[in-house]
Amino acid sequence: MTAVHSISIYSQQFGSLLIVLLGIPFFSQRSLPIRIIVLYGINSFVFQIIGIVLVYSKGSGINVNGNLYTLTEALILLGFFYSVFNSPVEKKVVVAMSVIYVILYFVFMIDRWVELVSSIRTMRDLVIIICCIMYFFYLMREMPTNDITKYPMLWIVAAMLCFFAGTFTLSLSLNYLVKVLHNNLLVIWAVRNFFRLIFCLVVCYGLWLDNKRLRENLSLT
Amino acid sequence: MEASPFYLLLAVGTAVMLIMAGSIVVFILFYQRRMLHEKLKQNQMEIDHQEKSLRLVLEGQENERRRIAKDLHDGVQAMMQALRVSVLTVIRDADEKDKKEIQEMVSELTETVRSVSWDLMPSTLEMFGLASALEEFCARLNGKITVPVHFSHQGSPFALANDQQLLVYRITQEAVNNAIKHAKASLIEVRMNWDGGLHVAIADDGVGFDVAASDGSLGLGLSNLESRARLLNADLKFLKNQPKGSVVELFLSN
Repeated sequence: MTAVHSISIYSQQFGSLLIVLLGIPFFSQRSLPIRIIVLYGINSFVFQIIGIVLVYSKGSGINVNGNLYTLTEALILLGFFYSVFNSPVEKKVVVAMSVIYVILYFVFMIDRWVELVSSIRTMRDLVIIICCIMYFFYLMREMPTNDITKYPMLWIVAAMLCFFAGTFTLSLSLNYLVKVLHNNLLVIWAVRNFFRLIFCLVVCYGLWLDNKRLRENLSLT
Repeated sequence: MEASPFYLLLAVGTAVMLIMAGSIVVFILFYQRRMLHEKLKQNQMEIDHQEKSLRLVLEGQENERRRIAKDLHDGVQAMMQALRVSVLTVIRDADEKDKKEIQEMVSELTETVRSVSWDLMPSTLEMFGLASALEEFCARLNGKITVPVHFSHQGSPFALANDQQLLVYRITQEAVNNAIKHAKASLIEVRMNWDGGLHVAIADDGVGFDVAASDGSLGLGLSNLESRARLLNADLKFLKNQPKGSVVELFLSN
């Protein structure tokens, strides 16, 4: 494992920790989607800790950990979108995507738990990208009259769209990368991890905006 | 397939996806800005239209008042004078008591017509300006009602357009009339100050009022005040007076 790759792992873990630290205060007063984002941060942080332990203990379950994380990540983010949408049609679409994803996940994972499976990651990226685009359509329809850049949700979903769109090609070509590049994959994975740190920082900006709004509300009451 | 071209392919694929995602976000931001801009423009147009309509209505009202006041002054008052002379001629042989009674009635009628004419369009306003017109308005009220209305005046007056003067006069008139009708006050004060802009305060020591909880009639009066203040681009505030009562404050910058 290269030093750069190690730093990238810790930095993305730091990003997840930052989401948790920013999300925990005022947790009970937050809206459901924001709470789910905090849960997403906790989930990522826990899986990353397990991943690091497995790497240092030379355990064989590192890919199992990654595959399981992919499922939990997809389901948590789909839950996030389910709570964001008000329209029953969009909610049904999210539920349908969740069901299809879970079914296909287990179909693709048969006898492949110890491998780094490309298809489940590609599907996850695709599902999240579709949800993000649906959210932006929803936003266009329900266009708020005040400054949209003050909306935490805008930043969170924009970060998701960019991150999952950015990793889509990587997920798509993962099988090939593992077979051909072997150890060179770590360089690409390090880039992906730094990219995830940026994603976490943008999500943190959204949480900071939410904190600011809650603090203002508290000072008013 | 070798690793290097694959890196390039991966980089291009990722870049394309990122550009597409970024474009969606940027599009949404620009779209919302444009929508907001359009909405603000539309709101501003609606406000302008409402203000224009309001100005036309108020101008119509003032023109009608001016016409009635002129008719009363030029027509009815002249006729009253002629009637007075005729009546005095006709009742020349009546006894002194009846003669005096009829003379008093005719005088009272003449004075009422003059007063109504003045209230409708104070000639002092156009001839001597706002301060004099308000001073005369207060002085006239002191002769008619039991609640004393004090007028005080500070600073050097600056030039105001005729329609501005009329709007300030109407706001003060309406606020004083509201205080007389609703405040149950023992004193009403009209304070004018021209330092750093025109400040007019109409204060009473009555029961006070809550703007939000005011009944329909008071609400309409307050809304008239607000409409006129908006046309003037002036600040209008409804405050509590100390120790009791209320203050209506108008500020017009020079």
